Amino acid sequence: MAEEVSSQMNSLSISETNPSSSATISLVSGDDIVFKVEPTIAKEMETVQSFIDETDGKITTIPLPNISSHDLPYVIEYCEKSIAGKITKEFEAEFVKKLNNEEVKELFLAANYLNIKKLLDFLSQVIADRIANKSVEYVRRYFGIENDFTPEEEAKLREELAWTFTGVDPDDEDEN
Amino acid sequence: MVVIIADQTLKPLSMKKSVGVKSKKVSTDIPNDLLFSILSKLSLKSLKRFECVCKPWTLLLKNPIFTRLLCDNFLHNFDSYYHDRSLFLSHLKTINFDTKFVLYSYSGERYENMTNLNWPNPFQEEDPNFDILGSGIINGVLCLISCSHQSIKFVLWNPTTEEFKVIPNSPFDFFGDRFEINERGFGYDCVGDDYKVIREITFDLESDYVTKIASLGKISHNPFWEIYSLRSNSWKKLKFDIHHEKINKGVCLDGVCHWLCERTYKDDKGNEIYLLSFYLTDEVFLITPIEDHTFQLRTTTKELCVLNGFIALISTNEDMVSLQISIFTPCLTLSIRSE
Repeated sequence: MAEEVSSQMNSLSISETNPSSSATISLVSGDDIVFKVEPTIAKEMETVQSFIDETDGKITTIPLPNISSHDLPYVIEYCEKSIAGKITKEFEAEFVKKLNNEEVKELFLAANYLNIKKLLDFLSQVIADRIANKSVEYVRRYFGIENDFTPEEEAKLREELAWTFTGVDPDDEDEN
Repeated sequence: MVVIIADQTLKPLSMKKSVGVKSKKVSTDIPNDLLFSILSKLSLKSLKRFECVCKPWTLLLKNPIFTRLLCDNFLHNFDSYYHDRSLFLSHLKTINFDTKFVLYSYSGERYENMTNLNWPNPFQEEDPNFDILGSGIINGVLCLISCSHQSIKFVLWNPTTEEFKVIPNSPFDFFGDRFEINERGFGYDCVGDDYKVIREITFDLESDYVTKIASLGKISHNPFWEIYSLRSNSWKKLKFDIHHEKINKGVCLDGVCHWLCERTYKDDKGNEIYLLSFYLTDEVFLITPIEDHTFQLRTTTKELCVLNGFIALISTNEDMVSLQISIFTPCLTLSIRSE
C-alpha cells in the first residue's frame, strides 16, 4: 500500500499555476512513496510527460521505479525553480552544497531517467568539477569501472602521464 | 566556425542509448553515453590522468564524438570564462609631443568600458617604458617590467588594493646592458602559495666586457634561466641548460609558463615548432612538439594566448585569409579553424 506524502516542496511551489489543468500528478518513487506535483512540473520531466500524453491524460499516477524517495524531492525542487525561471548560479550552488558525491550521482541518473536536460547538464558539470582533482582509483570506484590494465601496463602509462598527477587530492574514505 | 578533429580513424566507444527500467533497485553505475557528457567537461589535464582508469578511456581523446563534445564545451564556455574579467593593456600614447606609456583596463561584455589607470609609479623614473609580463593579471596581481635606461625593473602590482612590490635586483642585474633578459614569465604557484617570475638571461657576445670576463674564466657566457620567488624575495639560478630560439612573448596559466619556440635545422630541412613549458611549482621544463603544417608557411603569424582557460595558439595566414586556433595541453592538440 502506497503511503501518501504531499510534495515536500509546497512552500516553494509557484502561485500562478494554470487553473484549467488542476488535476495533480502522482509520482511514485521506487520505494513506493507518492509525491503529488502540479502538471507543469510533470511537463519538465519528459519521461513522465510522454507517459501522460500516451494515455491521453487518463493516468495521473506514474511509477518511477528507478528513483528513490530521497532523490525525487530534489528533482521536484529543481523543476519548480526551472518553471519559475529562477535557476541562478546561487540557487545551483546551494542546491548541490547539501549533496555528497554519491547523491549527486544518483540524482544525475534520476535526471537522465526522467529526461530533464537542464538538470542533467548541470549535474554532469557538478560531477566533472568534483572528480577533476580526484585520483584514478577514486574515479574507478565512483563509476564502478574495473581496472583492465596489467600492473606493468598501468605503471608504464602512469609514468608517461606523470605530469598529470600533480595536484591530485588525497582520497577521502568518508566520501565513498 | 568549423571544428576540425584530426583523427577520425578510430572507432567511437560503444554508445548505449538511454537506460531503461531494469530493476527496483536504484543502480548507480553510469552508462557510457552519460560518462561522455561528464568527461567532456573536464580539463585536458584531468582527462589525460584518467586515461589510467581503464583501457577504453585511453581512446577517449581519439574518439571523434567525444572530441566534438569537448570542442563544443570549449566554445560554449567562452562567455562564462570571461564573465567579470577585465583586460589590462599598456599603450604608447603621445601627449604634447611626448610619448608615454599608459595603462588601461577594459571591462564589460565586449570590453567596452575603458579606464585609464592611475597608478603609483614605482619605477623611480619619469614616464617609464613598461610592459605587462606574461598573460596579464593573475589572482588580481599584475607583473610590470620597465626596460628603460639600461636597467630592468620588475614590479608586482595589485590594482584593486593598490599595493605594489618592487622586485629586488638579481646579482646579474648589476652587469647592466652587457646582458640581455630575454624570455620571461610571471605566474602563481598554488602549491607553494607563491608568486614567481622567471627569465632567461643571454649574453651580448659582441660586448668586449663579456669576452674579457669570459676569457678570464670568471663567468660562463652560456645563457641561463633564473627565477624569483616572492616568498623568499630573491632570485635563484636554475640548473637547466636550455636555450631556445625565437621564443614569442610567453603566457602563464595554472602555474605553468609557456613559450612558443622554433628550431631551425642547419641542413635546410626546415624548422620545427614546439611549446616550451615551465612548471612553477616543480621548477621543471617540458617540451611539447607542435605538429601542424600551417606553421610551415612563412606568412603565418603566430600568437600564444590564454583562451577559455586553455593555452591557445592563434595563427593567421594573411594570404589565405584564414585563422586557426590550436588549443594545447602537453601531449594533445585540438584545432578549431575559422575560414
